[in-house]
Amino acid sequence: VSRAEEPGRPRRRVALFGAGGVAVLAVVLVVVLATRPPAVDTQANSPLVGRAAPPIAGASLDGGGPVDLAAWRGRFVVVNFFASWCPPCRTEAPELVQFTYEHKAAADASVLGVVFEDTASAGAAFARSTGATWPVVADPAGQVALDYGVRAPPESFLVAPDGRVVARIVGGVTVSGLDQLLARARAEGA
Amino acid sequence: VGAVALAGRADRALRAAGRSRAGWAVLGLVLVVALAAGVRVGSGVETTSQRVDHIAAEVRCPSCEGLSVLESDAPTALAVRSAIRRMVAAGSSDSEVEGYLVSRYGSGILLRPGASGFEGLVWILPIVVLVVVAAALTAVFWRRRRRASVALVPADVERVARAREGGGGGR
Repeated sequence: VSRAEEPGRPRRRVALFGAGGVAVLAVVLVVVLATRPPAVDTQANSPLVGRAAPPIAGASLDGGGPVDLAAWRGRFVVVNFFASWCPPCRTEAPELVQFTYEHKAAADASVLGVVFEDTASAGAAFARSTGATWPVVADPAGQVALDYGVRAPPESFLVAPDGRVVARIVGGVTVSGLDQLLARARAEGA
Repeated sequence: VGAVALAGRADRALRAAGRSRAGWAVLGLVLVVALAAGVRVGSGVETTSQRVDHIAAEVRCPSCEGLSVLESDAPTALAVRSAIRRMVAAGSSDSEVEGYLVSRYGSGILLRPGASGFEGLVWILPIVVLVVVAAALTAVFWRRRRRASVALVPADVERVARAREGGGGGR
């Protein structure tokens, strides 16, 4: 029997092409996933949406006195859960700085930071290093995170002027994404 | 003589079938006793700590993958455990504790799927599959047995024996 007539040869060639195809597909998948920008402004379901925001109260870590979410009625509040060990939190921080700057004059929206699974000192240092101008509260027992059902930072909740939660955003936020959410909430009567 | 021997063989086969039936009955009895014992063991009065652990074992750790809050020491898991302990101490029922956690995290926080809606299929499908498989096996065994019982009727056996003797005793 000559080599060309070997019975197992065509099958081996098919297997070789198959394996090659799978390898190429795997490489393409890895390249696409590695070069994609990180997901931002991803809204997620939450049982809290449409309901009153759970209370948040405590001393601001920047020494600015007591903070109470209930006292902020009449304006939108972005409740932002973050940690110093979380790279996407550092990525979104400039967007939050820009957002608070743009809404400062109108005083229609603010940010309230909550330290998630981190020490108060590390959270405060992180907030300072990113130029955060908003109050930040610690959550050492994780009670606030539990009340909001937070799973991983960064996670943000948009609270309407009437105190209802109108959106939950998992992952980083952007100025445009937050402004769109505000516009939508206003259109819906918030 | 051949017919008597064959009748004896048929009798032995019938006795074997009887023994097999008795074996199934014993197996069924063991199963029922084991299930009853299992239910009895599970229905004992739990201490508060046991109740907390029991509920915590059914709740998914919010910030880790594939662990219950009982198994995890992540701060969120500790917070959930502490909330469970607080609610149990305040007299809340298991379903009230689970309801509170679901009202925060959604139904995905529970490791046990819900009994209604799409999640309910997880409970129903295995039963449906079990019933279908049991029905198919029963049908197959019933058909096989029917064929076997036709071959073991003593009159038929005798007739065959007579025919074989008449035809020179076979091989």
